[in-house]
Amino acid sequence: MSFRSLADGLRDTANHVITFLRVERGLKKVRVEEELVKGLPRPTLHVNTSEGEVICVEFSETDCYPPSLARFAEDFRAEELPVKIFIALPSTGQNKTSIAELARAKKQGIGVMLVGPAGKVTVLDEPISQLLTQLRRITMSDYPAKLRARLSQAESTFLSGNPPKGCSELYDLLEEITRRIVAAAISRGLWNGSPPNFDPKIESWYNVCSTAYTKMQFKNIGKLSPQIWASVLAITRHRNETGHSPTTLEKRRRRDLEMRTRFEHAADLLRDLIDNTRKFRY
Amino acid sequence: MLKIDAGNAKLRQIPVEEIDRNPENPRIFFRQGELDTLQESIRQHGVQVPISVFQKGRQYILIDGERRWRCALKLNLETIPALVQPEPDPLTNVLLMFNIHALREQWDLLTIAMKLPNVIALLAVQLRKVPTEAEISSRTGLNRSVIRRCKLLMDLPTKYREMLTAELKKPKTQQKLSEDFFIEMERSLRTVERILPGIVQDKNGVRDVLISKYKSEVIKDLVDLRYLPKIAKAEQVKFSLQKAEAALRKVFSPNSYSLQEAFEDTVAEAYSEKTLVSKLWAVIERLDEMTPDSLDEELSKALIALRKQIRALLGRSQ
Repeated sequence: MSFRSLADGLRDTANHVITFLRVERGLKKVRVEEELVKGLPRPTLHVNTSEGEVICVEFSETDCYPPSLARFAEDFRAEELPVKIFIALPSTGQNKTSIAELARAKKQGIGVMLVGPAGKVTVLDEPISQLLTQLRRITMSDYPAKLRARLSQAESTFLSGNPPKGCSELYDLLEEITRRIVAAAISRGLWNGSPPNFDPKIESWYNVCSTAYTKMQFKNIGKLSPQIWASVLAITRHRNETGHSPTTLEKRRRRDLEMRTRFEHAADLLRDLIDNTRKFRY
Repeated sequence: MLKIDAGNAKLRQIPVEEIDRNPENPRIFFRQGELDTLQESIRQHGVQVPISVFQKGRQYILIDGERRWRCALKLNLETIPALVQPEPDPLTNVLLMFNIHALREQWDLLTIAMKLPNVIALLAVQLRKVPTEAEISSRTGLNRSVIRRCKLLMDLPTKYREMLTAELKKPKTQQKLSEDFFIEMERSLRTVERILPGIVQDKNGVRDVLISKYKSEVIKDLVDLRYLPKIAKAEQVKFSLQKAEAALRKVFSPNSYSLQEAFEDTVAEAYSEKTLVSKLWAVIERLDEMTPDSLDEELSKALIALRKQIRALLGRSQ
């Protein structure tokens, strides 16, 4: 491999990482110091995955979150690109990497690799797509304690690189709550006209929500408004979207951006739904 | 004189991709920390000082500015400001590298040492004789002590040059061996060999032992290597040569016997005495220049104490 800008002392380390990506991760076409996006810094190594993501590897002699890496990640975040960044350090036992630095790298979604002198690569942290790291994190205290573990799980699934599944886990919660609200409304007679002839626990979520939108007596269900319910109804169309995995960087970028918006919106909606039905036991 | 006229150079923006490094650049080790710092500066302020290149075919060859060029590559800049100079002849090219870099940057000595034989060979062709140290110094801009230190490194067997090269590739904080260590070791061993021919029979074996002791911190400081010539000069301080040789043999063997221990077990006291005697003679000379009127109270007190000590040591009669 021909390096031109990487420091000479890190080239062996970089070659070990190339071998690791090929052998351990099955990523064959590793590019060395090639342009990824015009006008942005060249990653030292980068490789496209079959899921339309790009994995970049930068190198440092001693620090796992040097200022140059922070700027590098910022550039890719600013362009909203689904790029995962690793920092690789030679594991000499003398580098200055501290827990605080590791935490900073982790917070920015940077993965950390240690490369031993014999070429053994140890991954301390997997990276998160820079596009996904911009996800507005869920404020757990806004939600009932019993939901927090599942919310945290959904967020972690989303950030670990599976946004559709992360969204799906959040939709599961929304679905459970809305079905329970509708069931409670039916049993308490808070329904205009005759009660529906379906079981709200097993009927399709869309049917449950759309019927409730026209028949449920919102004024008797806490502060729940038809507007909030309409937002839930709008989400039902995404409920079972699995979609095909994007295959290009641009498709992945668009998909992940959309997923980020959906996840944030669903989390907000869940909070609003809970807040506005607090006095309505269901 | 360098046959290049920088006044004829033209300032142009040239594509970063069309530039190659100069194979004659003796600076072969660039560290990531240094590159990162410069990269950050270039990111914020751009390349403020043009690099220097000459054109060779379709490519440009760097004369000055390899770090700026590497950073421009990393930052994916399309062009970089460059002074395009006429192509120099091989000797001028290599001398330019020395004059531009060695005077301005902290080069690793080994990088200079590895290029110096090439300079000497090219100069020998031009001067039609082996260049003197003074001539090498005036043409390269290196001072003579640097040239001498380089020569010590050049004379190292390949195995040790490679060992040092591998070490210098590491970040500064992780380097265990340095050029200074090898220079101190070679100087000391040369003196020992000169004074006690035959004591160093397997020089590489001795080098290996000293390197191993330094790495394992049996030798704590590289200046401890200076004890070796002092022990070898035992006869000069009237110490038993036989005991000194035995100590040197022990220190040259793989064990935990340190240079400091060898020094203390042999000539340390003799050197200490020698130092005391030379200091006493300096005091006597100084006192000789004084008159009773020039003694102040503090000095008088010190002399009285000295007289008391001398009498206690030598007796009143002497």
